Amino acid sequence: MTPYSHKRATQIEGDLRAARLRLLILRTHAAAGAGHLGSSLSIVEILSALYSSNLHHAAQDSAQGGDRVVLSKGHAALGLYCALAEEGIIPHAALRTFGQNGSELEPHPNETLLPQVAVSTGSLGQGLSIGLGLAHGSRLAGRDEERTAVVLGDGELNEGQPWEAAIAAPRLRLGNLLAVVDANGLQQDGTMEDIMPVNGLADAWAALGWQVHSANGHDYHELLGLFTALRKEDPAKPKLVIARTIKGCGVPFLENAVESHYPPVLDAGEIDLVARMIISAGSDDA
Amino acid sequence: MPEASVYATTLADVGSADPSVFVVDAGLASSMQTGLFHERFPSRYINLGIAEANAVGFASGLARRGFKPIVHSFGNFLARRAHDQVAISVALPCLAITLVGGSCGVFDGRNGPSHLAGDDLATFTALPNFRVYEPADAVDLALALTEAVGSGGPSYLRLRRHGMPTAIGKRDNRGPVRLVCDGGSASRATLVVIGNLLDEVMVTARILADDGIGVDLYHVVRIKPLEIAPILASARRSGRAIVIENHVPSGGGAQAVVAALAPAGLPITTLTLPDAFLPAGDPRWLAAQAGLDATTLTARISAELARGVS
Repeated sequence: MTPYSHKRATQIEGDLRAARLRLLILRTHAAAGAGHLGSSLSIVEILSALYSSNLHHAAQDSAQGGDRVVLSKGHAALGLYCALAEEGIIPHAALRTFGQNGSELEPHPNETLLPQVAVSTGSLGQGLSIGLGLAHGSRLAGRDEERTAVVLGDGELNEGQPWEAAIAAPRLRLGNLLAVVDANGLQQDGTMEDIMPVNGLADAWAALGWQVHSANGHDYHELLGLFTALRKEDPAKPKLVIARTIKGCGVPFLENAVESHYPPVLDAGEIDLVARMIISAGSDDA
Repeated sequence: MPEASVYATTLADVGSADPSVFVVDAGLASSMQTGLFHERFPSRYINLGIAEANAVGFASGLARRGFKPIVHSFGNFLARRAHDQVAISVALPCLAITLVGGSCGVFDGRNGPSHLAGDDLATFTALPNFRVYEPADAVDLALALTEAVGSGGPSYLRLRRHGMPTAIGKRDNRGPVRLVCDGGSASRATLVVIGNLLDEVMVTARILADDGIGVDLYHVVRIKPLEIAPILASARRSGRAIVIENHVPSGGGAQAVVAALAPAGLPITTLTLPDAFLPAGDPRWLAAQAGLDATTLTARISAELARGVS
């Protein structure tokens, strides 16, 4: 495993909201006994900022209208469920069933069991195309203020379908579409670099017609500012935010570790240690 | 401008009747005959280019915003290339999406195994929540497309590539299954034809009648869910069933009919495409290659009846 990185404390820019979500993920994972922890920890600030910047997320499970968050990298469902609980969209009590046989909170989001996840995913590469349809539907219905955000993994970009969607989105002038790539540099079998790197992502999508931004994926305030500002940007250009993240972020012995993908659970002492570190990072920040 | 085809007209009519219908093409608009719809409803039409997986996913998103997308490509490219997208983005959430696949079986346009959809039904009948239709003429098509679009769930329509007839047989008494020829009390077999081979099998039934062999002929348009009761009642009277289909033996309508009739314990014969990739050729030649042209079918059925019920 990768040893503790001295970069960590500066890369988690303290925010109570993200700190709570990170701890909730760790505790839910520990109670369940298993789960895709590393990917869930790398999207903590992304999810926190997305839900904070969404205007109409409460409608996620009901009407055809409203903002949508599509978790294309469905294996990070643990992170999504905890974010939905923190937002009050699902009850916290539901998290206790995560990992149990027959739970509505499956290892990958299943909208037929839990409509609040908005879109069923798990087979990688499918979410962005669905996002295009959602965004185009908002436009057709005359609801230009609605935004569809799709969270993708960098490993997921080895698939072909996201590239089909990346070609189509600028052509459809979907300025109400936001793609966020959780660029943690790892996939299940190893580093992106070792397995199949996706080089030049920013340049490639910019050349296709996307408005491309890069951000520290663990700086809640930077992401929130960017996601909010992008609502007012060019209405004819889809937006890509490449969020530089750390898989397993927040747990020193899991950070940037391939083993963080599906690790053993943390014991109570380890979670307590992580909690103290997160709190102290927050107070340093203040 | 050439006269609009049966499919083009029917699609445009369905679009007129329901303003939430939205047509998605994947780079085969001219083959799939969506031009008239595009012309009439430009704001409810899009061609996403040669990218079937994206087209299916796009339809999934659009359906979640209250539209009823109809996605077009050749059957193989929907059934094979986009299967995982169809399963997870369409079938699982049970969205109101209709997939229309052209170039089915012997009615392919001489393009060979990449285009000739001979196993597409197996893929779609296997998916939970899916309705599967194979209309043979314009009357069936209008009913099937209207039912599919109005069902609120996912459907697959399997079309021939060219020359869908306006009407085969009577226009009334249509439905998921219909009795096309009534052999009466002397009926010696219940013929069941799935979808597009109807005109061929009607010729067969006529030749058999000329030879003094009466048969009941049923036509199945909706393969899933299958309505078996009238076929079963007929087969009990005639004593046997012979099922004919423009699809490989596995997973199509013939297999569904056999499974549904099995509890009755009657002798059943299936005459389908072989379990093989077929060579490229025109429909008439391909049907003969597969033993599914009227002449060969007549000979095969006569031989089957001569063997009697074992």
